[in-house]
Amino acid sequence: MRRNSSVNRRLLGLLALGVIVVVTYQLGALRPVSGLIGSITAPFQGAFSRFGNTTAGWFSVAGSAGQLETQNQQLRSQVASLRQQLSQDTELKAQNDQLRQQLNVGDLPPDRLVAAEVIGYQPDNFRQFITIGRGTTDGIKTGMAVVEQGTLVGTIQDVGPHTAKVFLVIDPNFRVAALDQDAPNRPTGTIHGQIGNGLEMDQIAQTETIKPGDTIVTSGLGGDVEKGLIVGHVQTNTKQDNGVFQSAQVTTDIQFNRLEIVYVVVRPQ
Amino acid sequence: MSPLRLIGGVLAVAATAWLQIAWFGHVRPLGIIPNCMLLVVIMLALLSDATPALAAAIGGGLLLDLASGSDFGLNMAFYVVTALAIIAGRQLGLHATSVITGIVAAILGTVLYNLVLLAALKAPLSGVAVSRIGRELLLNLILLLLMYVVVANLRGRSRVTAELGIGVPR
Repeated sequence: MRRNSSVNRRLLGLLALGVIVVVTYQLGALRPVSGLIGSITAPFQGAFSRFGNTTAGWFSVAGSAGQLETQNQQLRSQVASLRQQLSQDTELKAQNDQLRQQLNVGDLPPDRLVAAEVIGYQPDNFRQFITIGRGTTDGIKTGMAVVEQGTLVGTIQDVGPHTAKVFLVIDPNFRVAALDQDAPNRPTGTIHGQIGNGLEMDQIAQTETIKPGDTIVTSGLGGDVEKGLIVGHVQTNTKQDNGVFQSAQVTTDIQFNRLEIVYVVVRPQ
Repeated sequence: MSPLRLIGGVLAVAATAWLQIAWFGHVRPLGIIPNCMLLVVIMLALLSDATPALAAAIGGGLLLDLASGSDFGLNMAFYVVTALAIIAGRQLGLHATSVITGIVAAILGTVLYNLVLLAALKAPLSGVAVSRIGRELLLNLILLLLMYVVVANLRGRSRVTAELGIGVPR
């Protein structure tokens, strides 16, 4: 009987401890402790993550050896077209600089990209976050955009001294204003994630013309995410005769479970 | 509990959390991250004492909540409820050592955990969501059976050790 009551006391003590931890965290009092835990565990988590990435690489190479040649050819033609685009862009930049000089407008300070290693993933299959090994000590702040290969990965949600959590664009609750770069009127809409890793752009005016293959970029409206970051390309669009808005399915080139290094866009003050 | 077992337990829970967050996050067999911590909590609640099971539920849940981007406390609350439900079941005479009991607990735990997550996200139970839950269930069951094999092996070895009197003071 005595042993039973001692076990009950221990169980109640553990439960009380759990409740206290959750309540104090919600009140923000545990923030320094969680920051400290993040700083201590980040190197171990990074090592696990690198090992995971290496082993995941083995699996994918074994599974996709046959597709490599086709993929290689596609990438070569993509590189050629991007080279051509780059030379045009350089020309446009030179013109833009000349015009800015003539109008006496100063140069825009370039955004700084801070490379960050992905050290952890959201441990379930529906919410979409990653943890990166950079924090306030590296100048990272809440709301900053995170990119990989020039494409939007997500935004900084929570920052500790040496780690930060990134809210991924594929999370069902993620929202960012975007526009169709290739459509005649550059129509705007809202991008949000969907369960299954896809993206949807909705609230696009019914009168606008959107085509599959159009590039979707951030519009820079109503948030800290800068204008012009690539979100993805239109796959299909859905228009209803009696609807006010149309929507579009958007695909992104990013493989979210293969992220190793991402870049935080730090805008100069 | 001896300090060695306590340290071993803490390390095992931490390793499980890192395995789930860092390793399975990249590898994703069948495109899914299995819920290793849920399986550890179920195994401990079925095969060990109540205190270590509850401590693992709280500690493991806390580690996963710290790694999560939203809904702090959700993992811990779910694992604690799971551990307490199994402990209560054992008090009512549940046949805890049976593999079938473990399988049923893992199925119920996985499905309920994902339904709670979908409710927290206010997302509908779509075909994609059902497919993900199904794949996670499959992976969790495979891992659970592997855990049973490891536990049976360890128990067999400890019986042999006890029979031979190795490490037992005479």
